[in-house]
Amino acid sequence: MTDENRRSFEQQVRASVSKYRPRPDEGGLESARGFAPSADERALRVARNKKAAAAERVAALHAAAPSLRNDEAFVLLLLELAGDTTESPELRAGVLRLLRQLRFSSVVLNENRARYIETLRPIMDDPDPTLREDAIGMLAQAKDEYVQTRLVDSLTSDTALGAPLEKTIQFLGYDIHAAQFPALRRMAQSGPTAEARREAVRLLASDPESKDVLRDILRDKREDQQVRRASANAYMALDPVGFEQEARAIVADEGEDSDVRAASLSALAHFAHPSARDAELNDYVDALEKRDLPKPLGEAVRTYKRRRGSD
Amino acid sequence: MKTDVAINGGTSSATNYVTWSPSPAEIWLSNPDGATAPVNVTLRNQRPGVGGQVVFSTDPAAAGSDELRLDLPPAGTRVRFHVAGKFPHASTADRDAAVEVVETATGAQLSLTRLMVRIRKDANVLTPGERDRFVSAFATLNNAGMGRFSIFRDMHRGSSYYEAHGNAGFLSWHRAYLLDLERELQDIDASVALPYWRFDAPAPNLFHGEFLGESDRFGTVTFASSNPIQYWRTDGGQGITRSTLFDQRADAAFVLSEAETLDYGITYLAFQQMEVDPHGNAHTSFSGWLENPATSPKDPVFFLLHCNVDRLWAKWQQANSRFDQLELETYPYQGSAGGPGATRVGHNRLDTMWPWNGVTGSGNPTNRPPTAPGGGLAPSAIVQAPALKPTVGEMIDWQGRQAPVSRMGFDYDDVSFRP
Repeated sequence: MTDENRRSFEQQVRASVSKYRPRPDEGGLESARGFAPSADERALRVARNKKAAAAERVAALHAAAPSLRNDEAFVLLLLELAGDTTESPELRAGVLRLLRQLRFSSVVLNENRARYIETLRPIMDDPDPTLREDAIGMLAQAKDEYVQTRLVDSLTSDTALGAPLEKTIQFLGYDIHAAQFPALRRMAQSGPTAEARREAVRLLASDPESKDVLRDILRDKREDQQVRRASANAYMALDPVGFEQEARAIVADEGEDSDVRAASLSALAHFAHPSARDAELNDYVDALEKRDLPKPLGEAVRTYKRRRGSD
Repeated sequence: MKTDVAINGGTSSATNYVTWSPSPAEIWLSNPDGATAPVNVTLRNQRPGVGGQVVFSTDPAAAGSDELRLDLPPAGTRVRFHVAGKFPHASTADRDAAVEVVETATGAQLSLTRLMVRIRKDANVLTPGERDRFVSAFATLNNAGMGRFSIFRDMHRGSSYYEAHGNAGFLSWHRAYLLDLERELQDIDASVALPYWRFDAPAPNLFHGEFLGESDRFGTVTFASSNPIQYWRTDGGQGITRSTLFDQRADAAFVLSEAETLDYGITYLAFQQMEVDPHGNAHTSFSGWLENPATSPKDPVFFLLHCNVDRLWAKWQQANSRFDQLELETYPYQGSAGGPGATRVGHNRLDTMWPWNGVTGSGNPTNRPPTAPGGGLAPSAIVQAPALKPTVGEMIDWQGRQAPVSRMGFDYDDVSFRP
């Protein structure tokens, strides 16, 4: 299932939900006396009907969810459908989204955490990439040990996990441990894509031993701009004073990338100790303001001057 | 001859912020210039049609008017009146509204009091100035992970799920949570009001590098290089993880429309189903932090999403006159935890809410969490409500319709005050 297919499917679901919602007169005498099925019963019939279109079935489940969110049979039906490999990937992805939704509002789903985890684990290896990524993400958020092991293995060996490397690193961030930092440092320095290096850099913001690696990436003008900006952010967390020095040098370097200069100036404006905004830097920023600057750098200059006024 | 005006009981400009709900004010002759009889003065907007606009009344239960005439005693005795924003003319900048007082007989200006009609607005239509002030204040509150935002992050974790979700107090709890955060933002920049993300309509200006960022194909949020939110940090980790399942430039999230939401029913029991849809569906129109209750407040979008949830409740309250907390249709669990017909602690009308009440226990689901981060609700310079350890019921009458003293100091750009 592609992102486009999924979007289209969810739009179909959204367009059909109102068909299955209770009517304004629902709950009147007819339903109360048992002469007619309630809206929830009608919706569940559609949801269980394998011959109905997947979008209609998911729409019916959405319509029933507000009133059945704490009905155990309803929650178990959702778990059953999510794990049923004979159902279409579209239906299962729709049900997974509904389960994510009920984590906010269903006490019963929260009480069935073990079943929830049990349902998701096999989906990690489903042939459909969207289902795989959904399940891995949901398990990572739940800090499930099994998925954590698989994510680490995927990073440190050739054991494939069905999610892109960049997402794998991101998922690790839900439950990061010091033992993973050496591999992340290697990834930050020599990962196969700029995005993979950037994701590794983001996680290194909580690793004091990565300070020098992050500073070196920040200093390297040949490095990808987004990786450098992520490094600036991470380095600032680990060595605020060292970062201020680097940021001042970058702002004053006419040969620097203008976005990296703007990002550095924005950090100095908002987060540096007021003493870092000294006369030398102030004079330089005043001079910059008079020039024709790229928009972000111009914005950063204006912000710096506005905040300097409140020092 | 001169007059002085005090708004919201204050003696400095720090209290010169109003909403659609009438604020108490006083005016007096500070320099009678030899007057021996009462002086008739006229209060009016200094610049009609420009900036925030206000209306005046002597009775908060009456509709305000563009002008108000008052007799001021020469001895300097204070005369009470009320001032409110003139719906829907909110300010776009701090103190862009002004109350001009003139001597009615001569037209001579006696004072000019600058103020702001500070209103929560649709994030997608903020001016660049409003957007930048909000972004700057929010980034400062976070302070690259070292600021007071960490308290708000700690209030909404998996371990406190049952305090705020899955039961009737969901809307009251989140109203208090947003108000607490908004007051902290206003402590940084008093001109900031929390904007809302209208999730049933496209919001390309919100999901933009200069505002709360654009998601790349891996769900990492990217920002314009001048945007300080790029240094956002929570739980020791940097940045924001958010993928939108919908097209963030062109489409709404996968949620019930506003009209469908307001149509849930006329009782609170019916309306509270909105916790599932649109609220839950707004969260899960994303993957990443927003889709999980334990991680969702790590993303600043959370607060704009919930501001819209609160706005929908406010609209429903207005449409159905649901301001009296003593009515079952306004709130179903009227007692307190442990009493007859009560529901879980923290969700009954008379229950105080964690963490502002400081009460700790053995943990969810049946007890309060073992810690209560943050202390009481942040106080306001302009209102006294709610109590700093608010009850569920106290969060209902946000405009002070039942009692003016209950107003909480916020309003929405499309929800008026109707006396």
